[in-house]
Amino acid sequence: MKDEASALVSKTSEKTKKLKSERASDDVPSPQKTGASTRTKTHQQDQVRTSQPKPLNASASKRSYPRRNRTKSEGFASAHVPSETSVVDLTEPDPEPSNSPSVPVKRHAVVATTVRSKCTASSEAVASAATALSKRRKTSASAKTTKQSSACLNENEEDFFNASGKQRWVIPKSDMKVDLSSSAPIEAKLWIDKYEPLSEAEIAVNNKKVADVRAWLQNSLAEADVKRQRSQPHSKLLVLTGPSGAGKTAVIRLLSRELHFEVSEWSNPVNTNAMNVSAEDHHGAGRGYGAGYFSLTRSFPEFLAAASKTPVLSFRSTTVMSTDAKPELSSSSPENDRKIILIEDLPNIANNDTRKAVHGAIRSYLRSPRTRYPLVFIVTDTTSDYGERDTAVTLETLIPPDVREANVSKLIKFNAIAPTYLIKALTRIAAFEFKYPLRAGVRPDKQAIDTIARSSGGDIRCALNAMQFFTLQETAHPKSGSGKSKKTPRGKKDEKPVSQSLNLGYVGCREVNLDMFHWLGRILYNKRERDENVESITNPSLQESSSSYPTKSERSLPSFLLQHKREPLKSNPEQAFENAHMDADIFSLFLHHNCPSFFKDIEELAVAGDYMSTADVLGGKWENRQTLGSYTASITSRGLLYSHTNPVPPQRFHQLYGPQTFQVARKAQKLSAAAKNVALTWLQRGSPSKGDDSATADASVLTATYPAKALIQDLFPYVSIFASLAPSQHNIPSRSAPGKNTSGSIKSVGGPQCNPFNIGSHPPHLLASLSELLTWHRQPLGQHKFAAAEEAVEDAHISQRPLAVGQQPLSRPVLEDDISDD
Amino acid sequence: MVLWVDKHRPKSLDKLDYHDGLKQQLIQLAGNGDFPHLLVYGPSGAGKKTRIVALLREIYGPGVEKLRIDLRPFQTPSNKKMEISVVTSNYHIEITPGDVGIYDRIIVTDLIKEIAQTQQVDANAKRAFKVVILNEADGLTRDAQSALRRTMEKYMGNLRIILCAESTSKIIAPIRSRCLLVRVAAPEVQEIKNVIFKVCKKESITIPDLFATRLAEASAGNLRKALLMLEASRIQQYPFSDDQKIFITDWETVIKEIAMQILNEQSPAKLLAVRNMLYELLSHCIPPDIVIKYLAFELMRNVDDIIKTQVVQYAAQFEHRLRVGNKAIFHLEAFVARFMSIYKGYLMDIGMA
Repeated sequence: MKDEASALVSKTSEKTKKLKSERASDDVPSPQKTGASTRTKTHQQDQVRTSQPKPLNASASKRSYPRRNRTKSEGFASAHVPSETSVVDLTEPDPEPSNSPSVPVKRHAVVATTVRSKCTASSEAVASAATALSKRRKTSASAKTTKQSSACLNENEEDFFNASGKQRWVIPKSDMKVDLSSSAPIEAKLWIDKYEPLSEAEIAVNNKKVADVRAWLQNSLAEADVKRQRSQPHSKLLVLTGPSGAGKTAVIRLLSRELHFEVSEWSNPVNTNAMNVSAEDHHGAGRGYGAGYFSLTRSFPEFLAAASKTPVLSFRSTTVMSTDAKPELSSSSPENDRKIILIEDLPNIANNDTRKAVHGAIRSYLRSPRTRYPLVFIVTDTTSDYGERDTAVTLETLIPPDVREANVSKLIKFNAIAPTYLIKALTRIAAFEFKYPLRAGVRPDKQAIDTIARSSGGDIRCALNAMQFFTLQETAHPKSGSGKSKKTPRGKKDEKPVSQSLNLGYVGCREVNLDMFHWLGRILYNKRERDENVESITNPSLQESSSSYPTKSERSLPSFLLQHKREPLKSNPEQAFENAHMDADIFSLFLHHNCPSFFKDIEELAVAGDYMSTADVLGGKWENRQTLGSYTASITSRGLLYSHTNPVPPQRFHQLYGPQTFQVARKAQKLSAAAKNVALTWLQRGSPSKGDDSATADASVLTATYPAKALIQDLFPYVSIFASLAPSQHNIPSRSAPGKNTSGSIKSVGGPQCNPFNIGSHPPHLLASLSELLTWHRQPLGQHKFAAAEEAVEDAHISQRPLAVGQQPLSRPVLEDDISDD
Repeated sequence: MVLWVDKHRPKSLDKLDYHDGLKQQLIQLAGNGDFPHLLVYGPSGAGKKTRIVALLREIYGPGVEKLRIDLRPFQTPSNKKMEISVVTSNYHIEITPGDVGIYDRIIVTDLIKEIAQTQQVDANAKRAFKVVILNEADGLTRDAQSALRRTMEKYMGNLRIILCAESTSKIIAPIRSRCLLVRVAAPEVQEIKNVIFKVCKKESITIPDLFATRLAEASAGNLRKALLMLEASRIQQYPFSDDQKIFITDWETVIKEIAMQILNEQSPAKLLAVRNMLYELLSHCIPPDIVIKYLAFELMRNVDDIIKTQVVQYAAQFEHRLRVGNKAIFHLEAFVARFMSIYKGYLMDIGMA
């Protein structure tokens, strides 16, 4: 017998609970009875259908008559099911089809379902239920045990809209132990969909943010309702930003249910090759594009225009808003004609033409007096790991600057979900999912949830996926609870037995880079095993030597090589590089920048420097950088480790900083460009009065072009020397015009008007860099301050990313305790 | 006011001060009516540009001194519109392709082609060809140099190219073979002194011989620097005294300071201090190869002969890596660390530390 009776269990009313509790305590069905009950189930369902005025939504039961089953569920699909809680009592097997269901002889399961559906959703859901059924049939065919009947949770039911906005998935009460013998259904849905928050209590987003968005939407929709021709401009455009998984979309969906508006969402056409799209290309048909080819540049404005004109098709009054909306359909009613235009699937605005079209469409949409529907953008904040913004889609490029500047839009920034919220949500979901004790899979314990929540970096989508995946693993290991969830978050060593860390190790959480400095610290602190019996799994070179010299005693190097002997490493540098999530280039730069403070002996540092220099040669050609990158990292880190035998006596912590190289390069580039420009300006000024000397006020300073090298190495330094020397000692006509000096820092340069170094007439952007160029050496050497270093700390390219919880941009102290575990 | 360097720059070939043999050859070349493409090379401040301009003046007359500065637009293959500033006269055009970085190939092909395809505007010009001066030719990318090879052949009819470079080693062989190589060596101390005296005479000031010698020696064969130093000294104090301070550029001061710091203390902490100064040099556009060179020689001046070979060996090694490598600071610092290590070992050996 391969049938399995299944029942729907969901939220129950008070009455149901009571019923249930008594039934659950009643008895546990024996296999024989289960078989019997299933046999007669069709009859019962027939009865249910005929006798109950409001038919139940299909209980996803399995039976041996697929055809009938299908017709059943189809029949249910067509039924309109208002929000209702009903109880189906599966009765004692009874040959009499005419037996009334109201007289249950034997209750074996409780089906309690809160049907929250609108008609479209229910048909869809039931259709999928049918497919799920067939799937389940297959699996059940292969299942060996069919002894137990299952009170199975139908996930499809769960997804139905909850019009009342009540909490839908709650931690089951103790009296809800429905059927102890229940086994888990096969997951048909991702939890992120299954547990989509339907009320504010469920959503893990900060209440204040939700309130913000709600307030804006209410305001905006209210204005749309009154159809004010000139609505307040700021109520037309809302931009939600934030990292992925912060609940931006969930909030909109939640509010759409709560405030009863429709979401009209843009999705990018699939067949658009945006790279080849230019505005004029597609008007001509002869371009070889198929008929189905849509230009994004055209379809996006069309979408906006259409969306702004078409009112909501309001057939929803019977479904979603059945509880509180007016029953009559009237598309003109403002209550029903509420809609927002959501643009989440952003067009490819990296393409110039597309961007222009999108900007134009947004502009004209906002400008048009007829627009009634608020426009909502959801822009995921894609700040990449190194703070380089993914330039393809950012807020800056998406929204036209004039729109951004004009006060027509509101920006609400979401933060990554706080760990407490996240843990709470995960715990709730886990509890709900595992309310049946025998549900297959691993129930994530508190520690696992904690780890998942932390390693997801506030991304609830990722955390839920990870948790769902976590539950799927085989329970091969003893269910001891301590075995699972041992993925080390950070600061813990990973030398614990592999089998233990596997459980969560397989669950790929979103990689968080909070511990970049931790991994750098691994290399910089250079911890080594001091005890001999530790296998040198981490050091391949030693491993190799150990394989050639089988015994440990023989592993010691010959005397002439003894100076190269190093204890085995505690951690693998390649792994550190892997985990630091950095470019090999950046990785080396970080190591290079921070290593000197860890070294005590200059001799060792010289060796390390030699290795780093060698490694850098590999990255010299950009073509090679991709392939040789990992070698660069390896040579750098291993070179550092090898050379570093005499560490600085352990301090509490070393401050780690980001490298300055990029700031330096940028500044050099700026100055070099400025120097060339200034030289040209000087040359230009001099050229009209050629051949003449200082008689005219703006006489030529230079009469020939100089290469940049000469300018920077010879001319400008000396010009600055001239300027620093008192001009009065020079017998040049001294007509001082101090007013011409616009820049304070170049005051000393001033003096005679015909002084070439009076650079007040240069364009202002040159002034700054030039003054820098001219005056940098003028400070006495003792006071040399590396301005760029401070600047670096401020605007370092990685500072945009919160590195640590402390939000300290570049200098997260790496605690010694972080690294050591003893 | 014009810098003395520019003010007293010889304008014609016969007024050139040194390299008499070269002067004669150039005069003959100019008188010949035609000349091939030129590759003028020599160290900075040796007088390459002076000779080029003088040659042009010899060919075209004083018209070449009327300079304009134009912005020439051009378009990269990715349809990016860029501009390059060029210095032009009626007869010649001067470009620094390095200004546009990796797009220098486009300058070499398109821009030069554009120039070459138009005839000489001035009907009274003495020559039918125009001249394109390419500054900093050794900074041209390989691509650009290969492109230039073709351009040179194709437009020989109405175009001559004068390449100006510091060394021929970075010019590909096909170009070298297509050009007449003109080497402008750095002037000797005596030659620089002569120029100094000449300038002083023109400026009607007197300079003691000893001071002139000191200036000439300090300039290390860079005449431009010698004249700038002279002018700086003149501003600071006149009449000159023999032991007057000679101004050296500030980046040299910084490098000297770095050397002193290295010699004073050899420790990782000092290396960090040195790193900041190195960064300061780099951020002020002092090329890293210059830094390592100056630093090496500055250090060598202060150490015992025993370790000099080692120092120079490592300087060469790290400069080589610096050229093929990517991040200059790695190599500069590695050199400093290496020197510190060597020097510290040496001090230990002689029992001073």
